Amino acid sequence: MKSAASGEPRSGARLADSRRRRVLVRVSVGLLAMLALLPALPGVSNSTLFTLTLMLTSVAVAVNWNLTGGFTGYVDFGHAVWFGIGAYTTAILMSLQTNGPQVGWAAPPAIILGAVVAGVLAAAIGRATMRLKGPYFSIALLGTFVAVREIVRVSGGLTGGGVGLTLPPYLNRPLFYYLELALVAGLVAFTWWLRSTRFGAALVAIREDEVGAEMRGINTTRLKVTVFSFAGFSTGLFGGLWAYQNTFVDPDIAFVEVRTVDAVMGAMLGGLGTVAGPVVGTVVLFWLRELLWAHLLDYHLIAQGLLLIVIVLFLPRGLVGIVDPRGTSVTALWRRWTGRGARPDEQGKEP
Amino acid sequence: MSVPVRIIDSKAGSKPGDSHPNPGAGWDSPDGGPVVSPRTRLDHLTTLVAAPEEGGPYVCAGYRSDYDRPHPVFDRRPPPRLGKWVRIRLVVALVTVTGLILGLAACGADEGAPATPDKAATGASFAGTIRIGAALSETGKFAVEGRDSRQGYDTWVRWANEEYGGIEIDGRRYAAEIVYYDDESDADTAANLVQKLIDDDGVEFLLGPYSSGLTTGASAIAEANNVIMVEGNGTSDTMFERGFRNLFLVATIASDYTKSAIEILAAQGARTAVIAYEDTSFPTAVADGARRHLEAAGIEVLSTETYPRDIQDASAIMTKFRDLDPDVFVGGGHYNDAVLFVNAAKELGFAPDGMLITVGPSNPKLIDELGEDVDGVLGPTQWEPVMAYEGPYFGSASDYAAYYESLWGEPPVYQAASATAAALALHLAIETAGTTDTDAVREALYGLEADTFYGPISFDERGVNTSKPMGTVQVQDGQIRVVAPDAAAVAGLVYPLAGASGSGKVSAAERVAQMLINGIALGGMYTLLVLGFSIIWGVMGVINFAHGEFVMIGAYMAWLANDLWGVDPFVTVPLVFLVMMLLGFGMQRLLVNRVIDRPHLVSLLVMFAVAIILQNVMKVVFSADFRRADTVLDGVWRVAGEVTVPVTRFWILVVALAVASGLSLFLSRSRLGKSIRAAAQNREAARIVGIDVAKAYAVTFAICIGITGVAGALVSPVLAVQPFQGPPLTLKAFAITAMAGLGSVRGALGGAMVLGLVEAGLAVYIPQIGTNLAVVASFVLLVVALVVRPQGLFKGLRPVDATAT
Repeated sequence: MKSAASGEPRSGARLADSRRRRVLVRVSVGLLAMLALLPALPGVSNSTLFTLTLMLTSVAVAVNWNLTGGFTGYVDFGHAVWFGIGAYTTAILMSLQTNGPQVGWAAPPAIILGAVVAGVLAAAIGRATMRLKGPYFSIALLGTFVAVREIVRVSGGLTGGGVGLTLPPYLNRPLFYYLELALVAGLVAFTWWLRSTRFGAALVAIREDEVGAEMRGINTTRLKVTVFSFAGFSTGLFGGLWAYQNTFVDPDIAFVEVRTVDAVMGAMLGGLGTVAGPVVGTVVLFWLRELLWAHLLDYHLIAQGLLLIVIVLFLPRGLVGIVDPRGTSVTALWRRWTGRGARPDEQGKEP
Repeated sequence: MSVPVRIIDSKAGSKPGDSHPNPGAGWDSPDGGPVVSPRTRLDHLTTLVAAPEEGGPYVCAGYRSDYDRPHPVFDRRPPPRLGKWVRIRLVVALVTVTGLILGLAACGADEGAPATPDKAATGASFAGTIRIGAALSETGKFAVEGRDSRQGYDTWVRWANEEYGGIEIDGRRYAAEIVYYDDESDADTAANLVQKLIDDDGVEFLLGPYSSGLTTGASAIAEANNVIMVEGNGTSDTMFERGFRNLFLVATIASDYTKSAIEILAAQGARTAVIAYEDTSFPTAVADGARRHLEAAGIEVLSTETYPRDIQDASAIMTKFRDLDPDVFVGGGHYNDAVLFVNAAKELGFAPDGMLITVGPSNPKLIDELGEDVDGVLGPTQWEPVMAYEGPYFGSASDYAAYYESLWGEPPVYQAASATAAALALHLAIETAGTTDTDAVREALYGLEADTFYGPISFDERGVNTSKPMGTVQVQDGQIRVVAPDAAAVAGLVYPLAGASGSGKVSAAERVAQMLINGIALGGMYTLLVLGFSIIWGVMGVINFAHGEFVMIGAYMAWLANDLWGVDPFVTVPLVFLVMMLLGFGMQRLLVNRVIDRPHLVSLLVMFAVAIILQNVMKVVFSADFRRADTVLDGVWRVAGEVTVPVTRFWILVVALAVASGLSLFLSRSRLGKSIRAAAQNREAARIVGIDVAKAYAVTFAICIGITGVAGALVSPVLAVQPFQGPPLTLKAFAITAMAGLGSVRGALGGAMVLGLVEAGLAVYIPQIGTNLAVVASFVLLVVALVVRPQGLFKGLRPVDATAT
């Protein structure tokens, strides 16, 4: 929500657009300042900061997922694999042992190298799998996710196998909070900027008509793989940060399907393929879960499933679509309910 | 920049006959009346130019196809105007979100304020309260054990405040109070809550959460904050190799779980053993310890196998073990794995002289579920009420059990006793220290030597209670009896088990034959499991991501009929078929029809959501425990030498072949089948020649879900019946279908056989990690198949068409 800045610069009506952009920039900066001052408020404890840090991590993963899933239309069902790779690389480097005393790396280089490893692997895997399209790509990535988890599990010598690795505990919640806040803000700003460049437009062109884009001289393969690799790098970075804070990794907590599901849901709820969508969606989802669904015990996943269906069927443009200046998905929803515009072969059957 | 956008505009819109709602539904639409007639592209273009499509039912067009729609965000035209309402709405939305966050921050602080600080102190004159914190699982997979642990802690609170009169420090009595939070069985959450307990609730000491995984993270936070945590339900060795000074364990550590059992087995003459364990933290520690104790007892370990979490079927491991003919089987994992092991051993005729399973046998639930099949199985136990332990607090083990039962109306399980003992150890240490100062209490804990209802408690330098031996129970005639250690034993060990049968030496040829039989049997199961998925994808173009959940529902129906009325799953088949057909029909009308024309992502996500909902509904109704249905068609046929055919799987293969040929005939010969194929090939043309496409779709979906339900019913004696059995099956179905051809019956059969043989081969020929690799096999096969032959191995009802450019 830092940048509810869904403004994509477009030709025409530039004046209105730039005015809108100015407003959004101001709101974003204001929000960022509020979040930055938050730790100084009375009653904000370390655990609140930790919760917020986890939220920022989810936001970052959703924003990264949206780069490929939303912009290029390559729906990555295994995005959490980069998170796990970043986390594991960091953990391995930091818990290196040579006969006794720990000679592990310091955190910053370990985390950065973890992100680089994730980015490089993403480039390699993206190169191979981005030939596939639609559901085939999605499932190939899901397969990658499962395969990497099993590889980590059976390479016990390096990764600690199913038992996992323990990192030297270090706790400084405000530090991590500010670090992740800055990184997420930077990431969102970067996405915003990216969207306004030729590169960003080319990404969208890939989604809309890949053959057409190629015919216009866009090197689609290079673009796809580049953005995929960047998303892997960035998610790996947050994975490393998470591992450091969690002080413990094993295959089943570093590689969690839910992380991908949350990213997809956050992006969809907020507005797929928009800059602000994943941020808004993930924040809303996170607090919904924290505040309401935690009290619904076992039912919260059922509620989440229902919400997903409602979003997909009735709110296709997400929450960002609701505050869109040119009519909302709610008005469209109303029309669907009133029956006008029902599918021809079903007319009269719907309420 | 605008070039790609314009391209999109020109091809924007629905395919002919598509059901897109009124394209003029924008806010500035002139009239917004319904569009009845089929539209041409040109119509579309003009309507779109006149009124940008707004709020169509389309989520992002994830994939390019001729049917793609304009994307609501990227295909924007410049806004007609930017009213102040926009800004107001934006500001309102942002303010709401910010308010929510700030409000929560405030709430977080409020929640920290204790709601019941004085409750414990009422009725007695306490000098103050000693506040202790614990994160426990009230929801999630550890909900049951979490509740038991909480009752254990609360037993201590009630006893300390009401019976004992408060914790005594310097002659003054202090009330005990425990602040709880629900960690949702999640390690991240547990760590977070421990931080919250320390920061917001100001607890002076901590008690452990349930399970090693959660305790690992939680204790790291406690250590970093220098707060003592005493626990009884996280026993992994790795936790105590970190050099923490604030973590204490009253229970026996994982590596010693099997010690007493192995000692008595060795005394009875066991000479060889095999080990299988889930390669997560706790089972690995148990298995490593078991290997050490086995070697120390002079028992040779013939083979060690690991398997990943969420395994559904242990038969590959059991086949391998059967060939080795060990005296003792040692299996380590969690409760559900015990169901898998006993099940697979029975199904495949693996009968060692002794079976030691690390979690499960001490739980009466296992006997309820498996009946006499579990007879003779050994298991470790931390504590049983019949054990002969006694101490000045709570009295004897049976006294404690009586007190516990008077509070909670049920007898204590060992998790509860461990929790009470942990709290009691902390209590005693505080009294010895005479202060709540962390350093003093730590010293008191290190120096503690107490006899309790739970057994002796004294901590070594790691913080582990090494003075309490692990007990061993054996299921005898449906009763759980303690057989070791001698001090606590109430019955003698039964060994070797009745019905134990050795097998002869297995030749290489026999092994190959067995592998082929296993592979084909597995392939038969996969055929039945994949047919419905394949036909739905081929005919309707919908990827049914909830496929595995329909299998699961069918399996639960068969299990329920079996459990309630003792009906054999093979007998339930017609009923399951009918009910599932109805369910499929309803699902098609309600949901699938709405997503059928939309991009793959939409149907994928909707069905994925259906899967989540079904899983969790079933979990709420039936719990996540593994179940098993019984069939009379079980056991094995010995065909030649040591080669056997599993009977249940053989009959599943027969049904699979019958269903496949019936379906094939239906699609190729019957009028309805032909119309279904026509609808799959070209829907518009089919409609023009008078085929009722909607009916064809409804029939297809109903039949396919019916078949899927039948598959579930039939595998209910073979695979564990549980709410989360679906997703791996869906992924296998996807891999087989995409590999073999969408909607091809022959392809489904061929692909399923290939996958079955590959998995069986991996499991038999790769030592130790074969089962882990079999999990990945389907994906590797899929990728290889897509690269080598992107159009699918068999000709299906619609092309596979997997490459982007």
